[in-house]
Amino acid sequence: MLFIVTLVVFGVLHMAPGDPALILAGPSEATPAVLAQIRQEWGLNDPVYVQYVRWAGRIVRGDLGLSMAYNKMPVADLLRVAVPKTLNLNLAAILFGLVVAVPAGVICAIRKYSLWDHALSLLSLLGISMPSFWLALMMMILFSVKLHWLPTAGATTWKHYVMPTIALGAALAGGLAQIIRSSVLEAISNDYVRTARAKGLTERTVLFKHVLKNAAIPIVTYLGYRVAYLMSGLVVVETVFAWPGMGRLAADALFRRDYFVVQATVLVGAVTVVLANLLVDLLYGTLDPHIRYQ
Amino acid sequence: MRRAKRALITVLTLVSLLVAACSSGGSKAPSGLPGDAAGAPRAGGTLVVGSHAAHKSLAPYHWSSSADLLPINLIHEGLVTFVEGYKVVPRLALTWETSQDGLTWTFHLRQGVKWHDGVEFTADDVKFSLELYKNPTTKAKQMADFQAIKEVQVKDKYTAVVILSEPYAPFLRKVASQGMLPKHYHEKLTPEEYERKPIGTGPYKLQEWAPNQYVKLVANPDYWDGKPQFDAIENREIPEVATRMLALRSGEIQLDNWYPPPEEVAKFKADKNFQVTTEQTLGTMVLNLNNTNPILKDKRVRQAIAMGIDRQAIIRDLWKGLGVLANGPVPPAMEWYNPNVKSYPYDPEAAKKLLEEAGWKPGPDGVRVNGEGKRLAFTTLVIQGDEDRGQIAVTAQQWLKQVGIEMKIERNESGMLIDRVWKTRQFDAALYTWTLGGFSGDPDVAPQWSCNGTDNQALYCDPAMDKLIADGAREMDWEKRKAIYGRIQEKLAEDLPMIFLMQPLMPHVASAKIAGIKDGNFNTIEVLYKAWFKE
Repeated sequence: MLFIVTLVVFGVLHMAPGDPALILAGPSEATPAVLAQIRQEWGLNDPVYVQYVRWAGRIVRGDLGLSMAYNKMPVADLLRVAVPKTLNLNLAAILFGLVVAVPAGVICAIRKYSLWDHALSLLSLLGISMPSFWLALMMMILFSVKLHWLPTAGATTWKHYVMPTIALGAALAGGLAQIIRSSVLEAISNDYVRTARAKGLTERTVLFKHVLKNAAIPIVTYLGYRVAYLMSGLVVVETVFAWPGMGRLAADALFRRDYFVVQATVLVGAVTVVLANLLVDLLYGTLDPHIRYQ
Repeated sequence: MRRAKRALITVLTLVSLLVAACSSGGSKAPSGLPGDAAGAPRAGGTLVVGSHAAHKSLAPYHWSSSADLLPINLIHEGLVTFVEGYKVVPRLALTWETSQDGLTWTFHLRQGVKWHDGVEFTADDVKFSLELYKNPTTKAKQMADFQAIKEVQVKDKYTAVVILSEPYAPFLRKVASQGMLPKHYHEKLTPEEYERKPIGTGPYKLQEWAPNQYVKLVANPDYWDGKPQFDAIENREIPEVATRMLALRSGEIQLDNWYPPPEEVAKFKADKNFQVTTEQTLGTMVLNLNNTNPILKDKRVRQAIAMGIDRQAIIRDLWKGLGVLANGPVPPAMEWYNPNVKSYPYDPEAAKKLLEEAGWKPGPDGVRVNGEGKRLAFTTLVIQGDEDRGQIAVTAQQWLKQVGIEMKIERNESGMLIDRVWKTRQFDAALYTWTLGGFSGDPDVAPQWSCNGTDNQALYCDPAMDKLIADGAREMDWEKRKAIYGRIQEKLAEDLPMIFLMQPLMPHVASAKIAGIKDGNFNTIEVLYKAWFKE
């Protein structure tokens, strides 16, 4: 499956107009001799399928190749910086989403149609519909320019994490809060909840031990699906905050036709989505004993 | 219970990973801004510059954008350099002389100059550097400029002699200005290895390059021209222009080194916390026309297009005055600029008349048609996301419609536009900015306007122009050479292979806390090296 993804991307990339040699040498400065040298060095004169097989052969041996735009910097070196940065930002966004959405969703459900429910539902809608680019700039104006609390760009200290995490996690939190609200509402009307209450359990115990646990499956499903979405949202957020992660690296590599970096980022993205789905499947088994994998 | 524990452990692991990752970057010390007497240069502090692009290479032969040029030019020095107006001044060479036939250039080097590792700079380094630029395996961007070099001789430790195979007038600006490279250090490395850990003779040394984040330079205490004032200069990558503007306002960066939007410049000018300096770049914004296109190959059509576009209004209203009207590819600030060339002021009536003469009569929908019923229509390419130039294209489209020309606009991703203009030649017109003679300020236009020029963007070809260009490259007498390039400008203004819209002025927004900066190119060694923090 992973190789099909990379094959499609490789094919599309090579079919798209844009000569990496010309971009690398600079259109105004490029001389035929330099262009020929670059094309030969990177094997760009070979048929596309030969180039793909060569790339795939190296990948199997664990070699991601060299970057064209970064003048032969190993792609692995670029990923070594970018992958942890992106992973951290994604995890922070998911954590932010959970921390905000779980209480909000539960409050909305147990105080159905109250002022709290309406206010939080409105906020969650705002979270979903606000473009991350706009939210990012608004936060920068407030927290960086007016209050001088947080830095606008970069990724070196914990302060650099705050705004990108919120920009990336806002939509996730909004969506998650709505899922949690409906899941909790559904779970709360079940017989076992009535039974638990009849047993004399406190509302808190009923909520945390019975309701939330049963509402967890749709939440986990949603989170799994959102991982792929987070990966795509990264391009915008990472560019706005000058975050040195995978999204920015991939976008820059695409513009420069840096084939091997694009391929590597696609591969990492595909692996992440596959792993996220696998994790979701495994969590199903943990959350619901009815689901067991043989 | 066991499952709950496992879940707890998972969450804790994730949190600890996150915390570890958050703290692993270390904290960045804020810029210290020491100082003493008011007005006098003060040493200290870190200048943080906002850079619009990612650093790709720190070698002077592989630079990719001005993001690379700023650190490259603070680390490396050429035999000569440029000051305002691209005038040549000595740098690593104290003096030089040329033989009568223009074939021999002798450079007398500055003595006692040290590379950043303490080894002395000598004529051996000059020989090594020039040969490296010329070697095709280096794939130097400037390789074509070095082909006239036949041999480099080391006469003594401080004298290098360059023998050319033919007279090459652009030599001083295009070749001798390029950054010198340390033979003893570079010959142990490949170009790709060198460009990640370069050393030079310049006022700043490379301290750290964090890919996709920043390049940090520290002051060279042993610099031959005196230690620079800033302790360090950090070139921080902030690709999004809106973020860069906010980073300036929040004080995180003290200088923006790439075109801020014109409307932002006006706001910064009015703010006492900032200063705005401008730079006459060598760039010209053009509407490049494909001279082999059946419609656009007619000079009269090209001239009518020029008269149909109100270029003054573009500069005044869209570019907020940050540009000068272009009548050719040479900006007025350059010493070989010829002011007496044909100009094309906005005159729709004259444009219409010229189109009538060329056989283009108004059609039923207002768009002109010729005798064969062909519509006077063409498509202009604009880079996707380049809103400033996109807006100019849309405005020009309306003006041209009034004279009966249909200009369609097609937005292409940058790589695609480059492919269509420079490689496949599948284009009618394209709107962008390009730089004359690289960054050397030499008037040589052989790549752009000779029939076989490697950068012949307009596919223009005229044997008379080829002869003028060849004469200009051979002529060693400056006054005679200037006259030749004056004629080239006259011919370009007459033939108008492309519409020269304007020469943009590049504004640089800097914090008012910085003193000593002046109008000029921050990517040259002359500007930032002598600036300092006031407080």
